[in-house]
Amino acid sequence: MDRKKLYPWYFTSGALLIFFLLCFLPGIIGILYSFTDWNNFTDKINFVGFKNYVEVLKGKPEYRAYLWNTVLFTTVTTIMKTVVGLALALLLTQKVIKLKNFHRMVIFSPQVMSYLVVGLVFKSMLHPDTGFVNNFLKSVGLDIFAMNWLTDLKIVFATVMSVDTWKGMGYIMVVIIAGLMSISPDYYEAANIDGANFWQKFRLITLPLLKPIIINATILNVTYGFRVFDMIYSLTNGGPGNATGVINTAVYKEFSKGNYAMGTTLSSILFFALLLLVYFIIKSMENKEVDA
Amino acid sequence: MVTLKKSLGSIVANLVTIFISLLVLIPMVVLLLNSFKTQGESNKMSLSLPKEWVFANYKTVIEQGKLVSSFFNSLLYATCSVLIIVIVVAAAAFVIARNRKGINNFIYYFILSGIAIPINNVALMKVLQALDLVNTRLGIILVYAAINIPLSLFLSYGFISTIPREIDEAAVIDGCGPIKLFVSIILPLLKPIISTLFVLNFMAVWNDFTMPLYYLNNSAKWPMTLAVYNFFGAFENSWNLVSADIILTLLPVLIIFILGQKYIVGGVAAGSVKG
Amino acid sequence: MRKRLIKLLSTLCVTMMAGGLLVGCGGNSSSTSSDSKSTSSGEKVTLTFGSHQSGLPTSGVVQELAKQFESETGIKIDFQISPDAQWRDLLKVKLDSGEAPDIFCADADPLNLVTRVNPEKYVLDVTNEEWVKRMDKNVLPSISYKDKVYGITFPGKKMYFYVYNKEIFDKLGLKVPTNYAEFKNVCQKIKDSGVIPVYEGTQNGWHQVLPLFETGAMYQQKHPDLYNKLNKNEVDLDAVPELQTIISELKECADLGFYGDNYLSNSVENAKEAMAKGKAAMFIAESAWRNEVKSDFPDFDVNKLGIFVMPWGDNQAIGVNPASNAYFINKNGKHVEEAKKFFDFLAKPENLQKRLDGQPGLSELCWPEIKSKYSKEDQAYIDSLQKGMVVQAGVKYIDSQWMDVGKDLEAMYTGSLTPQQVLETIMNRRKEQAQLQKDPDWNK
Repeated sequence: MDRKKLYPWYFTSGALLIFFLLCFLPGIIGILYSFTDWNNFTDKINFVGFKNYVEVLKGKPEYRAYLWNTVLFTTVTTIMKTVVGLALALLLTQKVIKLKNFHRMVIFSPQVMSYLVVGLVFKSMLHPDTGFVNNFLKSVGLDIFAMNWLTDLKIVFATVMSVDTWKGMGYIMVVIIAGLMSISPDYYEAANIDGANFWQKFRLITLPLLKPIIINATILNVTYGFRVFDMIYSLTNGGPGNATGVINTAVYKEFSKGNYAMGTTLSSILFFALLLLVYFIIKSMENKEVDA
Repeated sequence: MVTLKKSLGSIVANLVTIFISLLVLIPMVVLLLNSFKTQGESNKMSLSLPKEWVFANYKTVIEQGKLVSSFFNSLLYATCSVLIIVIVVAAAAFVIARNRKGINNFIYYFILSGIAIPINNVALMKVLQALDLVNTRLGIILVYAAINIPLSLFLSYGFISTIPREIDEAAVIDGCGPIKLFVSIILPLLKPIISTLFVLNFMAVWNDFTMPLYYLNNSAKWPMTLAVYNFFGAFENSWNLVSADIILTLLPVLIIFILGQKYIVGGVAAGSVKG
Repeated sequence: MRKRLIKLLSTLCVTMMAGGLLVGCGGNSSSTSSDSKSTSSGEKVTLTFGSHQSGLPTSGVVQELAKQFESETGIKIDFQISPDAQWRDLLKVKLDSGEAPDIFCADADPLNLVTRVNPEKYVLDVTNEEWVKRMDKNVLPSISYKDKVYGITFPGKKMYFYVYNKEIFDKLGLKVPTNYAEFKNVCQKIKDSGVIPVYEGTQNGWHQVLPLFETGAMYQQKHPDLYNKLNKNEVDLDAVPELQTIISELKECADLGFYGDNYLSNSVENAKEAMAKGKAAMFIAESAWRNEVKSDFPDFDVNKLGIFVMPWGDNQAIGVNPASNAYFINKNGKHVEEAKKFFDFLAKPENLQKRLDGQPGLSELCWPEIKSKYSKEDQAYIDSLQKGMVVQAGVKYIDSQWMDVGKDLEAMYTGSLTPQQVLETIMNRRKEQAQLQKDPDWNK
């Protein structure tokens, strides 16, 4: 069997061509702009080498805060979405729950809403006085929990991350449910015979067999987390002040100031960082597959 | 005693489940109720029933937002770009998975780098103009395809790797050429991952608004996502109209989702298990 | 199953494409059915009108005027409304790449027209149009560059007052405050009676900044030739101690609880309800905002609302903002003549009147021939006040950071920034912008 003939080169040409022309090329041009002083105010563009990058690295302490927020957001939401998704998946595969399909559908549905919508709705629901959340808490006597969700510096970031989890947990849940359903019940029966309890079964059977799914989901969540913008912008616009600013909100601010070169510099830095991270995750995943 | 514990446990479990579902449903209910209120009432965004049901909001929104034509635009862009993505990505992932050497390896990582690449609007504008695709529906569809190809390739690659080569070999023995092999044998096996790609990409394209903003200068070509900005004001917003518009934008996708639920949710799940 | 699915998908796709094409073509040709008094080529002309959300009144009055225009001339106007956040950038990209709409709306002020729309390159010179001389002379600097007029604008000068509930004041025996000390006193008494003294809408991001820069008239009174000196970088904002005072006063009132408990989550749109239901006593707004309260809450007697000058920093002068948003014609567009016709149409007296009537929140137009909506007493009150231009229309690099200052104030309210640091940040941003724009006065 001639491999080259059976898997011809032109099968990749479609994806390659479209991707190159309309995604890679503009992206590279964009990165090239970061080496200039391109801005909103003159038509002339001058090459300035690494000046912008140096400025960012030397840079204002806010940039470090944005970086920290981005990393924090990515880590926490990835973990939360996976854990909550896992918990929900376990819950919705128990025999005792009624209307499983309905519930699964409901929990998955935030995925179809755009971030703008989610931001708008939650902004109003989290209002301390008139928002639904606090009104509900007050009506069941849990007044002390009725906080300033989006304006208290101590909890605003946690709120933002929770809303993001709310939107994303359905996808992970669905994926894990399928994984759970594909685990042969024989394993569990054997474990039962050996007298294993719930946690042991979970740790030794369920988790290992779910690993590939969880890794896939992690990559999706990490790439999303690093590049997050819409969710934060529509909920808090990076505020109050700059408390919930992440790298992409900083990019956006630079563009609004008219400092396009700095904006592309920041997004280029993000690109390189994410590229490295994804490369490592994929490489380590592949190694694990080979071992397995 | 055991049965009592069990039924108590099941009641609690069911209650927890219902509570979680409510968490998800309530924002949507708020939007729905809001869309029938007057502007003054709707600013509060509460769960109270409207004093009077203003059905006219929907009429206003459909007219001013040109929702009928923009619905077809949204559908067109989402469906076509997804079709293109599925075809090119499946083909590419197939050969790369089977033959991960040399240039194919390079192509794989090359395209995968696109997952992280930032999109520069000015540069993209220049490229589109050079290709004479600016302000065309085809241009937008290709752009959507281009930016979603990297992640789709990644997901497909994992899945296709699990299809045994023996199938290929069997098909060759039966006299299949590469195209016949791909279309008649491999594609059908890709149903699960195609569902995943469909859901992820359709949602991404349906909810996007920046591409049409920059690259379509004829509002007859605009999708539903931009219509909502007709109802935000200079200093304050008409929340009732905004809500009505959001409901109308959500409705088609929600309906497709409910009808195809078993298939979509099941496919997404299966697509990731193998991957 | 697979075959059926593929068939289904492909039929769906084809139908959608056909539908989309039909609708797309239909959108353009539906106007041919109406009157055909159009261009010499006999073709139907559609003018594209690009604007941001805030550029067109939500009442839809401009869209209605456009429909009327279409029935009279057969020229259709295609409105393309973009989110506020993207508009400035989007407009620039479109202008630079030649894809700009035939008419576009942009914020116009005397300082920034060049960077926003680059008039000489992209905008049609309309100095010799008939209607230019009918506009208020004071508004012309906002839409001109190098003595040529480039745009048309309608809203009259913007002035922000404290709209206050006269009934609450009378009940508590309070008089309108004329300086900061009296203001605090009034607020305290109102707070003690259980009403929120001042409603703050910080969520929208711009409202909290008003006291800082609307008081420009007072700054100019106390420091002659201030704006000029600021623009030449001869002095900086710390030469205006009143500005620092006002920032500190804002914080003081927040800490004294004069904005209520949850002001950081409040939005401007909910102010109408707060005032109408008597939950708050004062709110910064334009005079005609009261009409909007009336239209949303018809049961509320809007005569209970009066206006007084904001007494921050003991201010008693009113800041006037001559700038607003304006419409410009794309010089390189394909339908310049038709666009000019549209401007002529909008400038007709009866249409000007329609516009004023159709926008409850507007008090007057910048066209002297149309009477303003001010009541006699309001007009008398306004005439009695000393006036001056607001800071953002007269000083460079202020308007562009307006929303950032809003965020700084938020940070100040939550305690992350001190009032002094807020002022420093504003000054630093000014310097940054000036250097970014390679302003010669800053490169010493």
